[in-house]
Amino acid sequence: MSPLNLDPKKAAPTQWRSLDELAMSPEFQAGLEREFPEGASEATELDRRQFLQVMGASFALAGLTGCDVVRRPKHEILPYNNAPEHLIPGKPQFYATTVTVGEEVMGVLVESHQGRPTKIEGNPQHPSSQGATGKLQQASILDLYSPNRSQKVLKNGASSTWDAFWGGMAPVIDGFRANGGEGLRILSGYIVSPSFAAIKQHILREFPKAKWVVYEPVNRDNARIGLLGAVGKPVDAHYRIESAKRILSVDSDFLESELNHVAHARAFAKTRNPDLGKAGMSRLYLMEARYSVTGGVADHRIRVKPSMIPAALALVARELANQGLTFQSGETQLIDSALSASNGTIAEFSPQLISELAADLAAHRGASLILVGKHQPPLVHALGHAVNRLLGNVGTTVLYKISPTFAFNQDSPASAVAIRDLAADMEKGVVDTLLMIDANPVFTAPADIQFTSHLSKVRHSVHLGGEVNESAQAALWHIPQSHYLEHWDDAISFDGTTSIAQPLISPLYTTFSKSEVLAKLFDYRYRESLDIVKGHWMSRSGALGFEIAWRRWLHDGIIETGALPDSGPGSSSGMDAFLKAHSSSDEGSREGGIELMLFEHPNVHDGRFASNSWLQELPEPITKLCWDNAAYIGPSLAQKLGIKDQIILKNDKGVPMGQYDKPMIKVTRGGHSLSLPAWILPGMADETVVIHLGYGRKKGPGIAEGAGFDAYPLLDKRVGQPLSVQVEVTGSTYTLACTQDHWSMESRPIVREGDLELYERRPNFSADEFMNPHPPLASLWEEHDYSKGMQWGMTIDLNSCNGCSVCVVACQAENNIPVVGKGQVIRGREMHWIRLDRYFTGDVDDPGLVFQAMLCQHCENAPCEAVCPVSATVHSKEGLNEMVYNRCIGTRYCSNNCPYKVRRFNFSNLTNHYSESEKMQKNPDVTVRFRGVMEKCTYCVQRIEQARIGFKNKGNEVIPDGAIVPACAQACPTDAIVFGNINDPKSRVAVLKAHPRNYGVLTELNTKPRTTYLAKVRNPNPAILKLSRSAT
Amino acid sequence: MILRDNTLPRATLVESKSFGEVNEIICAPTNPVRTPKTWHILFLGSLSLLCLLGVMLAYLVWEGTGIWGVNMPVAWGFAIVNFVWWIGIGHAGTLISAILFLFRQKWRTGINRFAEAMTIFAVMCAFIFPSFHVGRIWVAYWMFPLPNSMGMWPNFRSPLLWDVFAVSTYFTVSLLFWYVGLVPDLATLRDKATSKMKKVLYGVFALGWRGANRHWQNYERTYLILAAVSTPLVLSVHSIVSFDFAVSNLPGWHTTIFPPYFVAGAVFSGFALVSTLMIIARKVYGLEKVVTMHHLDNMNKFMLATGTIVAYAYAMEFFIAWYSGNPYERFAFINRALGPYGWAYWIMVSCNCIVPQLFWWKKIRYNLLITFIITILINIGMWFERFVIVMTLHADFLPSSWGYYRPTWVDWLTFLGTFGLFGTFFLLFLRFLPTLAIAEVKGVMPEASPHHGHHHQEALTSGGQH
Repeated sequence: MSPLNLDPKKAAPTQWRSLDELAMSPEFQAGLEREFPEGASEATELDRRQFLQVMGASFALAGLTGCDVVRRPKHEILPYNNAPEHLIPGKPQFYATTVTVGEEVMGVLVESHQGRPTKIEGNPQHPSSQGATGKLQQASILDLYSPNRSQKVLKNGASSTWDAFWGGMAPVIDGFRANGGEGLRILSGYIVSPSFAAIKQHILREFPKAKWVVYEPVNRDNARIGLLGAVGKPVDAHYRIESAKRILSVDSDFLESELNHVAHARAFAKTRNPDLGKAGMSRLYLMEARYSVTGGVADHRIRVKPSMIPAALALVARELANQGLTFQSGETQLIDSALSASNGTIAEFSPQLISELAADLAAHRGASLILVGKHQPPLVHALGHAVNRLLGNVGTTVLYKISPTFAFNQDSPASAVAIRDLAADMEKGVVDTLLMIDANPVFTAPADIQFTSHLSKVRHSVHLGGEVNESAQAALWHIPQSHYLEHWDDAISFDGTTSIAQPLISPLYTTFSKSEVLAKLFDYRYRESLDIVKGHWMSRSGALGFEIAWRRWLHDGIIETGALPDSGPGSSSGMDAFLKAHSSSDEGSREGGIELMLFEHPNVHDGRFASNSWLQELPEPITKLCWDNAAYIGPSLAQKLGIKDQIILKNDKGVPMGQYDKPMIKVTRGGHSLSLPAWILPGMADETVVIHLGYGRKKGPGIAEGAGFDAYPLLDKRVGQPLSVQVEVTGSTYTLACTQDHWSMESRPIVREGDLELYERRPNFSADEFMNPHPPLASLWEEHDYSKGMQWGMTIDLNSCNGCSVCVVACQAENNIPVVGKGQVIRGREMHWIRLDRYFTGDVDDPGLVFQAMLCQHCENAPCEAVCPVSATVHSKEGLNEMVYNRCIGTRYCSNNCPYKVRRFNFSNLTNHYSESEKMQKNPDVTVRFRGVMEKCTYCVQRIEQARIGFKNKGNEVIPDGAIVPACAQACPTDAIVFGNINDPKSRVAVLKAHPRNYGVLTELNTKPRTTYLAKVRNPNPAILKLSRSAT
Repeated sequence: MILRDNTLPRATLVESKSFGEVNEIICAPTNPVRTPKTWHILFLGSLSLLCLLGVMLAYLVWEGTGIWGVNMPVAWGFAIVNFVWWIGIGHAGTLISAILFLFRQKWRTGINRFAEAMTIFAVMCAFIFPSFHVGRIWVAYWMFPLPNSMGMWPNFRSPLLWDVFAVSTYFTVSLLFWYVGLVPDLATLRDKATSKMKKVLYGVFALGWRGANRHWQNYERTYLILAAVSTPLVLSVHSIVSFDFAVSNLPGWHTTIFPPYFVAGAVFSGFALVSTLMIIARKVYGLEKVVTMHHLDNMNKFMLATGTIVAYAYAMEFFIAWYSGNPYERFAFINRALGPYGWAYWIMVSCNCIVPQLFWWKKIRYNLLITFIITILINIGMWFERFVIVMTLHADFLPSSWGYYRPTWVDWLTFLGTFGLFGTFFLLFLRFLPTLAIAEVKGVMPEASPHHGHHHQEALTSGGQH
């Protein structure tokens, strides 16, 4: 027993993890190296005497500081609704908070079980969320519990302490106090937090010579610059997609990777209801070189080589001018400039196609919308806005509002410039101290600026972050950062919605937030994150009635700040200066040949989520690759390179199954080259290579390291810029993990799709056109009676679903679904209960794309049930196909007999290696499965039972429609998934099941699935269809 | 073809001179002094493989089925392939013991003991796979209808449950049949025993057999009843095994042709393995005089007949797949022949359909070496038949779920290990029990005929059991 030091000065830590920590004994100091306190693993070895000693001390100390058995934050946080007076064990509570990823601010509700946050859900009141989330937000909870989290201060890579850090930095800061901050640089991501901005302001005021560098490798700078040129004010474009009837997206993946994509996806889905008719349903034209999920839902997807995208928009603009729109002189120059910037022959575009497209846009003045992707050069953005204005869209489908976060970031130039300026300063040796605040520039900076080598010239480099990444290892100091669920924060979304981020748990390790670190280093007036946030807002709204307002803010998750004022269409008077500054020359290479485009990865983003195993295992939506990135090339380029993969043969409809060894290609640009596996992706633009960034972390913690290939060295100026590259086949191969081997539907009526014209002519087309009439099917066994009581069912609208895959992550979080790793995915053992089947349709060079969420169909005549020898899968009275884990012996016969192959088997023990922290994430309402048992979608039966208990307690046996929302439906931004009682004719799901578009998959097997689909209806332009028909 | 064998002279069934010589030939291996060196080498090899099996199974129980190659579309892999293959092999035993007995096929006496032993050991090997392939082997007993306080019964609709009953019945009856047949021979061994221990052990299992008339009467009656009980089993066991596939709704599995086709295939592979082993054993133990070329010829004819039935079944499956108009069914069969597992399909067709056709030539039927090679090819072919059937799983209804199965080294070594189990038991059988039914062989010798020495050939062939 270590001597307890009850000296009040030392024995007063407000939180402590063990008696040793309280005593700060040498054992504890050593124990910091360990993941878990010693006692946790050794208590069983205590003899009775020791046990009594420990227990006695525990009881004595419990009275001193209170016992943190439940790890709740020490400050008051308020439940979202139904605030229980006390914590009721077994009943989760929901708290509103805010997730920030780069510039994306999203209000969320966090489910908390006895002080453990377990699941992120959208906040219906937050406009960016409206109840749904993106997959990054959804998966971010795993980072809190990740065993790879940074837990201690490092100095030169060796373990150190916070005291050493504060002590070490104090003289440095004092030095800056003397020289006004000369040589001090602070690098952070894009700032969206008003209270953090206040700290920044404080620092720059106290240290006027210091410089703040805002660096986001994946950013919207081009959009901002282009808009500034077109509108003349620092505004953000607010798109009202719900009112747009005709949308032209110029490389804008607005359903997945653009800002506000969750709200956009919801708004867009609303316009895709075919019942709106020809006048009401939107039509989406999309020009892109890659294949994005937005491309998958487009009515007309036009493949364009990367360097030709500006010209493609310019051609549309010119055609609009020909059709009677009058461009101002500056705007005409934009068109010319965009056309000249593309050295490719514009003859590649069918003039009739452009003309029909332009005519369609022109016919919908005020209800059309041009969206330009964030990676397009400023010129294209300016042009896009010019076209929008000419089409009368400004004020109807696009509004300009002063950017609420502009002021926070305005003193730093665009990211691409800022990081170069910083590197240049570092090279000159004028940077004495560099604080890298929650950023990883060593990994994400373009290779040619040699950030890493210049970093060695910085005397004091400090990295604050949640993981020990490349920058942490290159820096002198690494200090661990709290997770966003561990500290207070605030954030302002691009539309002006301000929200408070409240913690759900006290820091698991000794970590601080970025505000706290800077506040302490630079002597801000508040030190604790709560005081920083609360103080900031009290100073803004005044102390009168503040507590009441504060409580409401916490409860709602947002601060009512009112909508931002519309700043009007602005003026393009600054266009000449803009044109001068952003002529085509700054866009670099237009040398032609094979072009490379680098994009952020939809799952791991710029690399910051690379150590999140949920996101690593989540298949990339289009290619279904996980655990790696690859060079995506089209079939024609593959043929040219001589890559022999059967997909190129047009008569063979699939990737050869089981062959995951893919040929490596070497992509060379200038002095840099990268060898990585080639993945043949149908529908890519010809002579185009697309590589996702964020993979290939060299010194990433845990799983990030070794996954994929780092394309940052190929990065030239900005992400998404077309780069001319040389490509050669190296001759070696690399094994990729793909969850879907086969890409063709084999002409089977699985995803049923038609166009609006067909739907209006034959609303029942999904049944009529795809199935032959047949006599009624009979079952061998006596069927259950499903006419009484509540009967659960689900519909999935294929027209709304865009394949974003957030449902997969939400299901994983809710249902404790384990991650299996790359090797097991290659073996075909991924555990996701929902998979998003992706099928290409039509021509292999220019195919269409459909998605279908496939999960347990809860068949009324379930084939799995009949064959289980031990009745481990049975039917409930309410029509659920239930899996009894305790009874399952694991014959796997049910999976063989499942025509949908939605069952998942625990081939190995996937859950026994969980660290103590990972265990905390698990949903206590869902069994953590042991090896040897089958599992599958349960329709979130735990949520059904929660609702049942809740309503029963209120004396209501019938659960009202909408009270049960499965995790997938909850997270879905487009409300494609609807769940409810099909016996209630007024329920949403029953209404949808009666809809003519409703159909079941493989119903000819008489499975009678409870999950049915609403057929996909596209709205192509008949004139363009006629064109392509006459062309072939 | 088979029945005509009845007319063969007894002299061609057994080329031995006297009862004494038959005793001598068959009991010789039980004499340790005369155990050939080959036996020791084979036994050592088999025992090593048996140990390997033990290690592989222990590893499996420790780690879970994840060490195998099974995955999500292909949830059954080597385990079920091997299970069906081993069960099929066992089929020759029952057929020879029961059906040929009822049909009074005297030539069966040369091979029946051998084949019955093989059945028992093959079923033991087969048993390993379904019991160990489950995810939670420690609760596999839930498959049995054991009364329990929860009132939980197994699901009687599941073919896997039918399997449990079918295979365990089959094993029990086969064991009983084998043992009853052994009783008179155990008495012979007891009488010839040189050591006290042997005398006691053989004596206990001989159940006090003294060769009395009453003993023979009871014996013959019991044997006849058991043969009658076993006869439906020949058809039922593999039919039920085929239900594992046929009762599912998977294209390529859900076909009515499966039961007869599985039975024919099982007999086919069973005879092939009996032949393989017999060719070795008669060489090693010098049984040529008791197991003549004539026996092998008959077995070859069996293989020719059943092989042709199997080939017909393959063709009919394809025809029906096309004729049904069911696109999933059509795809499943085209995919079998031309898809990723096409290589396995063509191995199967070559070994099972083409190779046995060589037996149309008498020269080949009487050529030991070629027969030996063909029997091995047939067993390879039959293994691939089951592989092809199980691999149908890899591409079923929704193309999105299609996958590929690759066995792991554990799969291979476990399969190899079952040969160790089989071999060890079989070699012990060869070493300690009479390989051939002494009493029955004597029964078909010319000396056993009541008309022996009277040169009435016709009468010789019409007698019943003696």
